Amino acid sequence: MTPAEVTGKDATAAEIARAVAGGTARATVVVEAALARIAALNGTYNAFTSVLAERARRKAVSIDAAIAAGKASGPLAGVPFAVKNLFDIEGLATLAGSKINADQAPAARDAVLIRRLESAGAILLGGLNMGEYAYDFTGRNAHVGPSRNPRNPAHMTGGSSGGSGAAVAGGLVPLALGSDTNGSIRVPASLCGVFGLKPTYGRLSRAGTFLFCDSLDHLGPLARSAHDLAASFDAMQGPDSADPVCTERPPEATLPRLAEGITGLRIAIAGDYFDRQLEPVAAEAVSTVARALGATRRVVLPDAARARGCAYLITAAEGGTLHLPRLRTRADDYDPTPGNASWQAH
Amino acid sequence: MAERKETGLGSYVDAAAHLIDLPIAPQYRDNVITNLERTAEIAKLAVADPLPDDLEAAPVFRP
Repeated sequence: MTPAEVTGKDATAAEIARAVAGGTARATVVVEAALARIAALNGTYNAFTSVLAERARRKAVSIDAAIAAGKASGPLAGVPFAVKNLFDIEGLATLAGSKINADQAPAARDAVLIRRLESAGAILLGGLNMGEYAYDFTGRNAHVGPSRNPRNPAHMTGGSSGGSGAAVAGGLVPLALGSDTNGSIRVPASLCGVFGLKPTYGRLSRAGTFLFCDSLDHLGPLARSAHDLAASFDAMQGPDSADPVCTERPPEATLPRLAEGITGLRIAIAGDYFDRQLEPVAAEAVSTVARALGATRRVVLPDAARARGCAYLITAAEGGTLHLPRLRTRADDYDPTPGNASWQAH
Repeated sequence: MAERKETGLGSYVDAAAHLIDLPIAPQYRDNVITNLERTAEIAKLAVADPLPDDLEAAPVFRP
């Protein structure tokens, strides 16, 4: 890659890390280029709700100094990233897309996954827009406006990790973190045309984030390549006593196995429930992917509709309980569209 | 606000809100009832088939 490409909007995390670690690009230059893109494009995409320019510059200087001194720089050296604003960021109130949380005390330290990514050399650039308290599928936000889809800013990003999808698809950063309770990573990744990973429940620590529904909440990355998902996932794996559901199994590195491709995987097309209400454009996309993967068999997942119903009920019950104290005193400060009533009904 | 004769959930919402000490402003009450009606429909799916008495609980998940 040329230096211009490494600092460009299409550079992946892997390409940036290779260039920075190899001394052909400097983290400080990569960060300045990302900050310039945010300044130029965030007015359109509304992806970032906070930009940590000075913090990012300090981190970049330390990475460049470490590399110049011949020290290990980490597998994500110089990679700019950003997080859905339900992640604690030291010194900022953790908004979780709300107006109410702006009154909270600033977080005392970063969420665990931010610390793990930065230990691997990545550089946090800021917090990202999201649907209020993650109860959202579209990327809308009544308080700061919707995140907008870089493929077409007149379209929704999907949600609730809408800012994460927009930031990655728009080339503001190559890597973002989101959360997924019932689709909140997968939906914006899909609608914005990027890759998203909802890991197995308990694989990544959720410590230092504002949860929505403890039984169903997952954190995970969005990126523009499977390689970047694997590299960031590997950097974030590992047990954490601060999250009681985080697995104690040893990390299983995914990056070394990417070269295996789909060999040995059984891939089928989900039918029945997943065929219903399938619009032609979506059916065509499914067919395209199935052809590419050589998937010809169809599979029916039993009770999919009931499982979805149960997820809805669990989410409503846990989310409603979580928000009850705020609903008693600050109902008017929630998003005034029907989501508000949804909270109160549970 | 008019009671919804078809489900009677308005009375339930008022009683439950009182029980959990959750004031619901008049402008929200109708949407709260609508949402609870929707939730009750979805709950029917979850309880449609009886579960056996000896079904094992699975409180521990090992990913």
